[in-house]
Amino acid sequence: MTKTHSRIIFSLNSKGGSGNTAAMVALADFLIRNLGLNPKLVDCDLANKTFGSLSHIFKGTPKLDVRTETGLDDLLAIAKPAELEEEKAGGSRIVLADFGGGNEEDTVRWFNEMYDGLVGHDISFLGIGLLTSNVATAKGIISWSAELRDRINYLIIRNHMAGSNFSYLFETEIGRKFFNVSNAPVIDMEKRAQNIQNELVNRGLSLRQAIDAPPDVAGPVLGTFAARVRMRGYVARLEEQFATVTATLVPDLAVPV
Amino acid sequence: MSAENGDLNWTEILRQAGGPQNLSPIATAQVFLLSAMLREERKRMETSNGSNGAINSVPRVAMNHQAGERDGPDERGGDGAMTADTCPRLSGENTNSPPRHSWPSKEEANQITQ
Repeated sequence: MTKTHSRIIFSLNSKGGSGNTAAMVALADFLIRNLGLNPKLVDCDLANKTFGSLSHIFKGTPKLDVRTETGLDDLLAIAKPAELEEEKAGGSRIVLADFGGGNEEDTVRWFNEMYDGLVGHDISFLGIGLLTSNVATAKGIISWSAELRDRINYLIIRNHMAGSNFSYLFETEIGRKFFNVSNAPVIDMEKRAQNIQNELVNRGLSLRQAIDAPPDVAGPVLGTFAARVRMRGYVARLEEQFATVTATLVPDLAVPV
Repeated sequence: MSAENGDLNWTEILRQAGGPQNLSPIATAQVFLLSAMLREERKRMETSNGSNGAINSVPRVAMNHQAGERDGPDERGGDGAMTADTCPRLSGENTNSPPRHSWPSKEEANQITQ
């Protein structure tokens, strides 16, 4: 019997303002538009109540508070609804959850309580760590991995928004130790023009949505020819990066569910 | 198919095929995977030759091997990067092998300095 494989992708967010949501939004676009998948999006960043959140950009995305005793059970219910347990169709069901900062303790506790009980249910996890030139982001990733270890896969995204010095993770013994044991793929997300990024957040648009938007939705900043050209470049380069890690994102790339 | 400096350009491939809208999601994904595999192989060879990239470079650790397999005799294992079953899934029969390396501790995380 071929069951549907559920893949829960979540951000290892320990510090706000690192581009976590921007990366998850771009990843959602990639999964939907490039791979033709239908990921279930979940906005777990309660600190970001309106502008630029996953639920702001993708209308209808549920907000979920995972910082409760059983909060992550709801995420599991989305990843593994009862009918999938009986399904024979196979394929992948992807859940993309944007975690806000401060979720580490509750997430780790949930894994400690639940992970062993998930054996046999064909489910896997991918944690996405956003790395900026701020050392706190590296500390956060190592801290998450110290607790979750090999219970999840890892993907590291180097966000060049504030510079390209990532030596504290790539040229340190601790960083080498992490990559040796995790085998985490690494991709890059380039710095975006500030006025474009601000306007995307204000208007609640992903890059893809803004490129396709009519002038009245895109507005005067995003609607210009130059801005659209710039955004197409961002999208093309980011998609190329995601394409290199498709097998990590969707291990069972098969029939979209 | 087109090639730039020996590297397949998947965007160009899709364009020549009439755009992603003319391909099934599976065909599109296969193009991605093929392109990614070739790119990874090229980067691996570049890395082994000592070259270094900038923003788009992906370190050798960019391969999705299961924890604990890196130092095995078949370290790269041909298409290991794109093998689907390398994730620690909870299927019951494919549990993780014990890692040979230890994970950095939370205390070590605090030792990271810029």
